[in-house]
Amino acid sequence: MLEAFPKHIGYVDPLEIYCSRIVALLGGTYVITKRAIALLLLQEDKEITAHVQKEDGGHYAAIEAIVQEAKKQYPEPLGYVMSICRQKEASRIAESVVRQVPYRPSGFGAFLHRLLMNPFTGTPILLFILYFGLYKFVGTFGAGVLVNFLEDKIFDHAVSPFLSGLVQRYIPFVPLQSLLVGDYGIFTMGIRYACAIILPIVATFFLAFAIIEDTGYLPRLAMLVDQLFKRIGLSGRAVIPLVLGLGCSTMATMVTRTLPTKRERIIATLLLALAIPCSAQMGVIMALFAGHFTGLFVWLGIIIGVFVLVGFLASKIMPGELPSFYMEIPPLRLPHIGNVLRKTWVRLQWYFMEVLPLFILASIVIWLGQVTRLFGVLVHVMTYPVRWIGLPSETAVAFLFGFFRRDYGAAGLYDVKNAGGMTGNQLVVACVTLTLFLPCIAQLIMNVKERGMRMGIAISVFVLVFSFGVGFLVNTFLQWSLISL
Amino acid sequence: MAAGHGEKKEKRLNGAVLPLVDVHVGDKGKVEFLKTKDTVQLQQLMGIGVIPGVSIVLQQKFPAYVFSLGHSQFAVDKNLAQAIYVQVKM
Repeated sequence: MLEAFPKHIGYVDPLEIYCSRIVALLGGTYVITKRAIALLLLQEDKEITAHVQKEDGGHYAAIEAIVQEAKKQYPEPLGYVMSICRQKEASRIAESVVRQVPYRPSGFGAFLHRLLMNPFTGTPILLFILYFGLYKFVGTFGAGVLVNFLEDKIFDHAVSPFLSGLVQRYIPFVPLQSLLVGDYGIFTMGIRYACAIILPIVATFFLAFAIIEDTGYLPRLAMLVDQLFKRIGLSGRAVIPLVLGLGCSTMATMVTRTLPTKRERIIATLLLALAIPCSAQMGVIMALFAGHFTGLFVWLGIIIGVFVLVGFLASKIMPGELPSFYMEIPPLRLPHIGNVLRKTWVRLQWYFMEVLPLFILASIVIWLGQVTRLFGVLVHVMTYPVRWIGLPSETAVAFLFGFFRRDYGAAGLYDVKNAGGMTGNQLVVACVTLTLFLPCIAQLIMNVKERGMRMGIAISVFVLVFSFGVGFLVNTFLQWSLISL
Repeated sequence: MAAGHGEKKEKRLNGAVLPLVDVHVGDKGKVEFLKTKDTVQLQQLMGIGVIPGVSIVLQQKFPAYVFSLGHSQFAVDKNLAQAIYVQVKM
C-alpha cells in the first residue's frame, strides 16, 4: 500500500524543471534537502531567500534569474500554483484510504452554536457572561466576599497585629520598623495588597477566563464583533487580547503579538494602556462603587466612550494596511475541569511571581522616598493635577502609587473613600482618571519591550495627559450641570 | 420579483462559479479558484485551507462569512470572502 505514495509531490512539469535547475546551482550546506530549498525559493520565502544569499552568494544572481523566469510562466503567484498541486496529491492519497461518513452535529451543542453565532441572540449571551462571569463572580465574589475575608479576618485581625508586635519587640530601630510594618510597609502594605486584595481578584478572573476559553466561545465572540472592531482599526481577532486585558493588561500587551499587522498591534496596545481596566483595578473599582450604582454606570459609560473614540481616531490617523479577519471556529466543548484548574494555577503562579516582587519593591521605594522626604515632594507636586480635577489632596498618594501598579492606586483610593473623604462626583472623577491613567510600571516596561522605545513612551505620555484631561472635563461638566452622583 | 428569484435559482442550478459573497446560505460547492491582487490575502486564505478543489458549505453571511471546509469551520470577513470563487453544486 505504502509504495503507492510518492516520496515527494510531483509539481507541474515546468516547475519541476526550474526546481531541478536551482537544485543544481545550490552548493552550500543546508539542514533541509536542496529540493525543499529550491521550492521555497520559487515561493519567494523571505527567510530562505536571505539564507541562500548568504550560503550561495556566488550563484545567487543565476538562481534569482530562474525564479523570475518561472514566475513569468504563470499568471498566479507560484505559491498558489504549488498549493493546488499539493492539495490534489493530498486529496488523492486521502481518498484512497479514508472513508467519509456523513456527519451532522445535532442536539444541544448545535443549538447553542447557532445562538452564539447570531448577533441577536449572541449579544444578550455576551452581556449575560459579562454580568455573571465578571461582575458577579470576579467583582462581587472575588473582590467583595473573598477580599473582605482575607483582608479583615486574616490580615487586619491576625497577620498584621502579629507581625507588628513581633517587629516592634525585636527590632528597636524605628525607620526599619516602618519599612516592615509601617503605613506603607512591606508586610502591612506590599504583601497585604498582593495577597489579600489582588490575589483573590486575579484568581477568580483567571478561573472565569479559563472556563470561557476552553468552551470555544472566544472565536465566536471574535466573529460577532469583527465588523464593530473594524471601525476602531482592529479585526475581531483583537477581542482575545482585549478581553485578557480585563484580567491583566501587562499579559495582554504581550498577547498583542498574535495580531497580524503592526497597525493593529499599536492600536491594541494603546487601548489596553488607556481604556481597559485590569481585573485587580476593576475589582477595587467595583468595591468603590458598592452602593453607588449610578456612579458605576457613569464610569462604565465614560470608559466605553473613550475606548470607542480613541480607537476610532487612532484608526483614522494610523497609516498602514486595513485589518483582515480570518479565524477557525472550533466546535463547542464542555471544559475539562482538570485543564481549567491547571491553566488557572499556572497563570496565577506566573502572575504572583511577577507581581509580588514589584509590590515589595514599591513598598521599599515609597519607604526610601519617605526617609529622604522625596516622596513628600512628589506627593505635593501630584496634589496640583489632582486638585485641578477637583479631588481631595489625599488622593494624590493613590495616583502616585498608581504608577507602580494601577491596582495599587485603586486600592489606595479605597482607603480614602472608606475614611469618608470623597463625594459621589469625586469618586466618579477619581475612578475615571485612575482607570485611564498611566499603565502600571510593569505594563510600561511591556509597552516599551513590545512596541519599541519611541512608540512605548509616546503611548505612555499620551495616556498620562489624556487621563487627566478627561478627568478635568468630567469634573467640569458635573459641576457646571449641578449633577451630584 | 418572482422571475428574478427563478432566474437566480436557475443560474445556481447551472453550477455557475460565484464569489462566496453571492452564494446562498446552506449551499454546497467546491472552491474553484481564488482571485485577489493581494498576495497577503492569498496566503491567509491558503493558510486556513481554502485551496481550489476543496469542498465548502456556506453556513452564514452575517456578521461574518462562516463556512465549513471538510470537518472544520472558519469565519472570514467580506474582503476575504470576495476572493473565494465557488462552483455551487445542487
